[in-house]
Amino acid sequence: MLRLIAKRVLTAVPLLIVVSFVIFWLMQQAGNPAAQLAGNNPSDEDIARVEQELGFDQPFFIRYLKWLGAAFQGDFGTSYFTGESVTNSIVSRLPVTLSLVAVALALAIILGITLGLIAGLNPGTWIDRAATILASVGVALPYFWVGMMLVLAFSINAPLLPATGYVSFWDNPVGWFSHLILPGLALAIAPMAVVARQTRASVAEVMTQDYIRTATAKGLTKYRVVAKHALKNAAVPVVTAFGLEANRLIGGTVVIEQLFVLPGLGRLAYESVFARDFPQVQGVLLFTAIMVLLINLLIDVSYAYFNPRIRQS
Amino acid sequence: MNHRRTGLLAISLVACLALATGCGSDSGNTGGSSEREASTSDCPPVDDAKVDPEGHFTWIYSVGNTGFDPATITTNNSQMYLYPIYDSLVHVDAAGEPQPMLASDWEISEDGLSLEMDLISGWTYHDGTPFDAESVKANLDRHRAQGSWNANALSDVAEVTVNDAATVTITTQSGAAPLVPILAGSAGMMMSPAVFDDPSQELNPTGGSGAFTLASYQPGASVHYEAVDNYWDPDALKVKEMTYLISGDDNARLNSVLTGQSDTTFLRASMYEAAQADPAAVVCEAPSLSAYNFTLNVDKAEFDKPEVREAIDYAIDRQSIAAVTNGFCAPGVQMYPDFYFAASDNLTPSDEDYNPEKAKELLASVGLEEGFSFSLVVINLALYQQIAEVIQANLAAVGITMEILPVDISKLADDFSVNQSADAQMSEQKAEQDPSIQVESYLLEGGFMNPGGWSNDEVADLAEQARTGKTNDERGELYAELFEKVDEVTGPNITLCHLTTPFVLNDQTMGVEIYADASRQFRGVAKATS
Repeated sequence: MLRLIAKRVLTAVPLLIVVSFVIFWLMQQAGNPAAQLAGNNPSDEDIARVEQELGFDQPFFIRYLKWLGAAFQGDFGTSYFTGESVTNSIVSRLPVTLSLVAVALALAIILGITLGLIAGLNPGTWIDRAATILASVGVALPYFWVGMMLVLAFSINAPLLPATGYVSFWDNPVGWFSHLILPGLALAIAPMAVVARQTRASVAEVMTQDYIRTATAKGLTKYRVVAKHALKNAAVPVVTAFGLEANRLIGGTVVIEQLFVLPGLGRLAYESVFARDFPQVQGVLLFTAIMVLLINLLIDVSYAYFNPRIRQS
Repeated sequence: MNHRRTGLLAISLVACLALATGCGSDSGNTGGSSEREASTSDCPPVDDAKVDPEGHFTWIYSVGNTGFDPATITTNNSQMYLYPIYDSLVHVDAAGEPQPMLASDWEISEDGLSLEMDLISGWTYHDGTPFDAESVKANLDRHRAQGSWNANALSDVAEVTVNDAATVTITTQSGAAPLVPILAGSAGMMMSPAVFDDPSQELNPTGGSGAFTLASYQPGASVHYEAVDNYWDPDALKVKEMTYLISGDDNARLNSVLTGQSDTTFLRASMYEAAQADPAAVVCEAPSLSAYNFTLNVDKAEFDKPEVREAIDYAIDRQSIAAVTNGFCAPGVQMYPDFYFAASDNLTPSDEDYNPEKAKELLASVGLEEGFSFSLVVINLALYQQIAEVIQANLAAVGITMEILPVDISKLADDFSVNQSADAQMSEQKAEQDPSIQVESYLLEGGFMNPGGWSNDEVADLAEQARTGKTNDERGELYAELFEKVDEVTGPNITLCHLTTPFVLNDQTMGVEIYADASRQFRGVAKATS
């Protein structure tokens, strides 16, 4: 297992370097923000002075290597606009995004596995068909639409939950959860549907296997058969789907954080792009890439846990 | 049979969702096809009997700030976040009129070149440093130094002299009158000289002079302020705390107010009906000095011809543009609306402004009967692009082909003013503290929004005279003459319409004023006891 982890980490390093180059190169294509930063009605001299201050008078590769070198030491630079350290910005926004993703994933797992299990244990029945339709609709609905509908339904028409804002868990755990239910649910609908479909297919297939029949013949209760044998064997494809959805969720936070006014990383990325705050965009993107690679590593380790053949190979 | 049941289930699901969200309910929407009449309605005034002394006011806006040091901000929007922390020498009220603030009175010299200001006494900066004439001089010298955001606005200042502890004289090169409103913005904000060299003030200001101190700040997300004790102008401070939230999403901002998480936000056209439909919400609106502009780079040969600029002016149907904005932008043919002191009474929109036949004749007179083509950069927001499409159709009708290039707002000036990759631009002209700044930018050689260097001697002379005028009446006449001249020769900046700014607030909020210059100040705002 350790070899597997080491191998995955080592292959991630060149990938990160390529990603960092692409991020840096793409940002440079957007021009430079010197005119924005040079004051009201700036003269050409004002703009040139700011360009020099920002380092835009240096060659591209020099700027890239300087940035990459600092990034590897945890210094993503300083925001052009707010003057705040990008690393500090990321660290301060991270709890919001992690909270949102955690709530969304928890909802997706609980609801998805429950739905998939019910459908998989009752193949061909109306329950199965209803669950399948729910899952299909869930996959097709875009995050932003679900989010807007949830706000209309549960904040405006029936004022039960807050429509916007965020409260820290440490300040008020109940407030924290109430502010995250709607955005978490909006974000969870699609992964929940995927997890439900995968669980349903895996459970339905596993339940027809010989060892399940044997276990049932031994006199085990249906609950024990499902819990002890079926779920673990059905887990590999579910984990695969779950991993992919977790990566998608991180992208989804950009839209959901905007819609629910959550001060997380997604919103930071969105606003930084519009402001052409290059250090901030580069820092957030690189950090997100690292998060995605870590999630993929976790998925690989999970495969190995659930499937010994992968571990051995 | 199974398929039919599946289909019914799907339909039921969609129907349930629609019912749950009240999609079928009456929101007062009549289809959105009718044009709204622009109007003026005051927001609820302060009722002193209802004021909650522990009140907490929350404003939610679309864009964040770029720091808290008035000399190093990099956007006009940042000033909004500085008003609670820093008082300025002058306060421009909601109508755009300069009023005393830290300068209790002022007088312009006989020759119009210098401004003597009397300062309030007994006030200190938040860090305990006394507010006096020396500190005012130190601030103004810092604001006009190279690299300061305010350097261009104060470029005409020659010297600041301390007369005594409570009086300063500001001497200018060409005229002191424009300085008065300029000193109401970031250029006149007073910060404790003790913290001038402290870079942490950008994120954590401790040397303010205003009614509030900063309690917490998350860049791009929220700013929280707490009232100071014993503020020098107690009538202007009626809440204990203020929070400014930031969200670029129109729906999210409106939802925030309608569900009580915020007290006030501004409305775009698309939010107006939803805000009005809510019985607990109050909508108020007032005309502003902002305008939508269509600006040409005269480096392009065709735009250097007055006949072509005039043809474009005649080809644009401003009534259609007003309709596209749902009445939020009233047709206009000069830089400022008629209620502003710098506007000309003789330049009012009329039916004759839209005349495609006249436009074709003008184009033919300079050999362009076959038309020509050019590119326009426009902000990549729906409304701007819709207006650009109206103009595109108008110009196509007279044979001119306009390519629309949508770009994000931060890149617009880059493409038009710096790189000059586009021949024209369409954007909102935000009101500056004084018309001299706007005129310099759009209508004088070397102006940032005049990349082609268009110039007209008479316009330049009038601009110079208007700078030196002593009173608004005197200056207003000169600006009126200037805009009439610009209209006569059709300058490179074509005004399309003047904006109205509606706000939505909850019924507990009092004393919100909508400022004509589009500055967002909440001086004297109050919350009612619940």
